[in-house]
Amino acid sequence: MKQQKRRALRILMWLLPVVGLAGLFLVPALNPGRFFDLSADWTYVDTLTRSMEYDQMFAKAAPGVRPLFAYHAMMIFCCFVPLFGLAVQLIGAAISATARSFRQLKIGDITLLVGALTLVLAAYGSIYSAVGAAGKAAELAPQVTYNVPLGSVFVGILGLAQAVLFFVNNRARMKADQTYMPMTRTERRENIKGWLFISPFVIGFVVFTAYPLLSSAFASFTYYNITAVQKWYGVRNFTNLFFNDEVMWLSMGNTFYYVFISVPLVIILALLLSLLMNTRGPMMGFFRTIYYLPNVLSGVAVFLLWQWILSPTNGLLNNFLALFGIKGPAWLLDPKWTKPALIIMRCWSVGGTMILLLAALQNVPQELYEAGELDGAVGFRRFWHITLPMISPTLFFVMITGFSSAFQIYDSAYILAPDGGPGKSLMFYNLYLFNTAFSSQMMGKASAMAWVLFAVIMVFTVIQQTASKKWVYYEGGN
Amino acid sequence: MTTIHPSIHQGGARKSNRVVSHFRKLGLVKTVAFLILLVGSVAVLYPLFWMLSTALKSDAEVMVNPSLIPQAWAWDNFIKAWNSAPFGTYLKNTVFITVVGTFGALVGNSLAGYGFAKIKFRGRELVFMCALGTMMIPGMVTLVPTYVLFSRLGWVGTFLPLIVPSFTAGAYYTFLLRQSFMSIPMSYNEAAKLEGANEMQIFTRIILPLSKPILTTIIVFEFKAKWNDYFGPMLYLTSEKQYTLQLGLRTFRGTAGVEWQKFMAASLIVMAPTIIMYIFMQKYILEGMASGGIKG
Repeated sequence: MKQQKRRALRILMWLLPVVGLAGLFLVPALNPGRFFDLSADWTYVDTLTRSMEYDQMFAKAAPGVRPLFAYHAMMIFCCFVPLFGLAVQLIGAAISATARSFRQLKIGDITLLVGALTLVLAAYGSIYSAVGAAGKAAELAPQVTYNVPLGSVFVGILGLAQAVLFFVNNRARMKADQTYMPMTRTERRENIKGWLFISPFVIGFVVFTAYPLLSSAFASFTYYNITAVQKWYGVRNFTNLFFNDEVMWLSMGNTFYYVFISVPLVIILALLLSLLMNTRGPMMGFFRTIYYLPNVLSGVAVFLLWQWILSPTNGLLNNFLALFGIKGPAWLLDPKWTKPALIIMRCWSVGGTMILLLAALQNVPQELYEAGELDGAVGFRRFWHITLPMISPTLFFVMITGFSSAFQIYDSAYILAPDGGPGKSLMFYNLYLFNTAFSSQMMGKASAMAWVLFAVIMVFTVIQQTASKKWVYYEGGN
Repeated sequence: MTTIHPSIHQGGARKSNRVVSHFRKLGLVKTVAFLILLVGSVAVLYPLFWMLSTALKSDAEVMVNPSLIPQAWAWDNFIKAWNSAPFGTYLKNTVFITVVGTFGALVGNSLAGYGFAKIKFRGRELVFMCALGTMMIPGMVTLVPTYVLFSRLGWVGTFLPLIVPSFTAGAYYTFLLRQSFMSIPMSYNEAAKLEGANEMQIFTRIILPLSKPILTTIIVFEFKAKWNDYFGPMLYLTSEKQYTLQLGLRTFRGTAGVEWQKFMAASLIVMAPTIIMYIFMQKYILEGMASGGIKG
């Protein structure tokens, strides 16, 4: 493509967002009504929305009116999104215009594209909600009229044009870029073969991972009862969760208790056991088999077995304690002792962690120990200065996975006490989530809760990751 | 020389000869370790022995006799437990789900692992990174929309939601297989290509047979996961004719409490295949865990 044509394209890409912003601000000055759909008669809905809390309004309004409110809210939301989209576009245009390298140019163009897509989505959303609101209003409140918001349509068209320009410009630039070469025939064949081989994986990834992720992210902003239609709900799921829901904080507290006691306990226990196993005495293989056995069994049988063991009157644990003259508590019936009971149950399956740590211990080279002994490192010093740093990557891995899975505890509580147990002491966050989704059938709220859990786990993972730089030692460097 | 002697001093270990006391120290430490481990393993095994002994107690005895040895060896508890619910059907269903699911996991994941390891195609790294990234996401985030998806597809009430995802998803096993395939040198591929083999033939005739250990590990892990799965069948299977063994164990939990002896008997029967498989395949399980860090 000729240089002049390309420059013209770039200037056009710069101009469009400016035109869009100008349009959004200037035209209302000329004709306010048609631009933001400010028809004079929507005061009916307006007074209602301002007089009550949106929630109460939602709940108290007759079922047929709820969709009207939902559409209305969505339309207003979509009318403000173009402003954001145009801002993003202007930033992208600025980056492209002042770009000094191909990379900066690419970043600027992609920002422009993102802004353009936002405009298109906003246009679609506002048309959809305006049409829906108009339909509902026609049946319920004929004095209210809804017009298609022309402003959004206008910027939507701009956005489409912008996206087209982006792709055209990109093709031109790729051709001008000397390092871009089209694929050879063998490369093309390898390409097809590769994608064919991973096609089940990709299909599964898209259908069972990516789509549910996006759908769940969207659903957390909606009010979704599985039998009814999804309705836009804004951030209310999240604000309700944090400010109106005592069970949430209680369940978080229970989960934190479990996590911060069980994870260190299990790791320390596993470490001790693996150190003992590493002494390479007799029957080590036999012990390895036995300690890992509880991890092979799982499910209902194990949980109910432990319910039997923890039974207050003739359970195994209390019988055992009675041998020492200790009167064991009512494990699963006393609110103070339910979580310790679950922690004991978790410690039974310490074998999994132990195997990992044992493998790490066995990988520590013997020469290090011998060298250390020359310098006087024996006993505890040997452990602290040689063993621990050499197994620190595995310890780190065990910590991260331990925290992550401990935060998600719910299956044992579900089997033993689906309603949360005595005094709600076993109401873990994940159990609360599960009940919200499948008993109360509030999928929107459950999705929001799941993302909150994800965020919490991420926070702890990042904390551990940054802390790991201080104490984890990687043999291979880096 | 006291700086070099260990801090463990038990009576009699004070010899001036450093070599002898070194060996004695080793012997002492190993003995103490052995004893502690022995006590620990008894503690770990005791609940299982308790299970067996409860299963063998008669109805009257269960609540009153707290000792390990039952007075009346009620072997018919096993038969009574089996007959309390259509366990034959449950067994058939569980075997079906487990076998098909494991086979699917093998097929799908090895194809994908081979593609990622051996074939250069555009976007390979990007797709793999995305998949790895999503491994960190808690299951609950995708559970609700997946359930909604399946109910919209009309698959709730069939076995499909339990089987199909094994064929297609699974970043974990793909990652492991990719590692394993990457350790097989490309020269095998190239030699076979010279002989005129196409990619699929290379995959099935050369690479797969060389990877038997890792494939066995995956079979074992997937078998264990599917056999012990409770929440999957609970969510997706609606009619009693489709229930699996784990769901069948619920029948012993009545409103009056749990019928412990029959429940223990049934649990032992349900657990038996996993235990047997573990005993024979433990080499694969333990080495798979140690090398790949599979979450057992």
